[in-house]
Amino acid sequence: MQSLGQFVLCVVGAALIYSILSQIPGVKSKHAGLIKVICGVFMILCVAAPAANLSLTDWDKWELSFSADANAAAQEGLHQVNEQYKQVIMEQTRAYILDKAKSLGSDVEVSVVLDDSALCVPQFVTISGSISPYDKQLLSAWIADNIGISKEDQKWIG
Amino acid sequence: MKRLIALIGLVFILAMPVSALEVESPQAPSDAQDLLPGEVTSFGEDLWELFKRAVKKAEPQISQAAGLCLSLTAISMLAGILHSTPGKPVAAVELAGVIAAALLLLNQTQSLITCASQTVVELSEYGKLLLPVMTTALAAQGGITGSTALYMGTAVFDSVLSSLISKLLIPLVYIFLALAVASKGTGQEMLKKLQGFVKWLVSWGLKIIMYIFTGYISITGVVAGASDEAAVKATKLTMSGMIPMVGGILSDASEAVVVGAGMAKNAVGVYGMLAILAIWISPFIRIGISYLILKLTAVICQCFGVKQIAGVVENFSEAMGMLLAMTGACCMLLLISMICFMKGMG
Repeated sequence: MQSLGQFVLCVVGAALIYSILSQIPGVKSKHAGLIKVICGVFMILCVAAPAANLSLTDWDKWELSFSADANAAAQEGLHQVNEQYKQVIMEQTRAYILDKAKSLGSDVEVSVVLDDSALCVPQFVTISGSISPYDKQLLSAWIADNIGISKEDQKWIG
Repeated sequence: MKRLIALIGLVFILAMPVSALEVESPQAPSDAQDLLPGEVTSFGEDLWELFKRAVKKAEPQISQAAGLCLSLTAISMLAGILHSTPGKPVAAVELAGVIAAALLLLNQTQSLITCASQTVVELSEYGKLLLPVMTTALAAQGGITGSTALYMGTAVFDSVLSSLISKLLIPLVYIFLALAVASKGTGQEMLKKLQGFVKWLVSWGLKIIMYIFTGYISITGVVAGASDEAAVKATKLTMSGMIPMVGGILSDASEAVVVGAGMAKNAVGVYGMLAILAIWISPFIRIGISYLILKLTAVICQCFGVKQIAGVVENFSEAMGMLLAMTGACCMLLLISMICFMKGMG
């Protein structure tokens, strides 16, 4: 950008010099043609020379910095939303199991672990508290059928 | 009865509040902060309030511009009288009138150019703070491809535009004014052509960047948006193929988080747009008042017969127009980007 600005200023400066020279009295009448030719050549040199040396900004580095910033911001958003998503799934799964246990007349504590997939499906569950063997069987079957956590992945404490 | 109690319990358990996405819109600069309403409620009402406060703040500018108009009219009148008096050197009167008008306009023009330059810098800096926040919010809503593409496009074009304005176009405004005074004072055709070229360069430079930016944003919005929507649909299809209750849990969780992210994004976006307008509007009104009054002054000066003075005043008003275009372009670029962010993923 700086080299572009200098180029434009160079062209404008050359034009101003031409204008001043052509206003000089005496010279104007006698050597007007020569002055015009010299100023014209000067203008051409001013236009052509800097243009030949123009170098564009190092585009790759510049673009890379913006790309890195964009990815960092997007990853931050994804990270935040994934944490919230997991939290909601764990809370809702826990709530469903607690509700079912309450309907069977049992008072239990539930802890849910999600898998590592993108969908964060409930994978393990730990249930603790006092529950009769019959209610435990019913609840275990219900969890396997409705939540998709097999009996092998269910841990019962107490 | 048991079923009813269980159902009511389920409703209360499932209606748990989802914590909002942790994004905060960056604070506007202190001058702009004064114009913003205390609480952002309705966008339309807040915009109107912002406009009223900005106009009130610009009131002293009107009297200042009117004073300048009177001074220029007086110079023009005096030059007109001398011009029509026989025996007076016409060229010298014209040149003196042009120089006097230019000197009178110089101080105010200098402060307005500085004001425009600072506004461009402030808009660019605020954009750099706001873009990561909007990108985070849109990515959280599922628009990963769209958010990065919008960020990159806006950041690149904003950087190019602000660099172009500060390093090339603002100096060109000074050159334009210098050429205007020189061409009106000497009557040189070459200087007039060069002046026209400088004006064209400023106008063309701004237009080309805005056209390319608008084209990029439009195409990116369609392509990236389609890609993100396809990804979201694929996820939803996978969820629907699972055990109904699990699928329901995942779907509800996803919906709740996306809605929360969308609300956060829109809240940040609305505040961001108001902040951008607050940064831009005061300088815009200030320069706009000068632009309009100088236009009027040029018409009045024309009546006194010295075309060169009216021409110089007209050229200075054109310079104000260029400043309006520069600040307007920066503001528009950021606003378009914010609207695209807010529209992304619905």
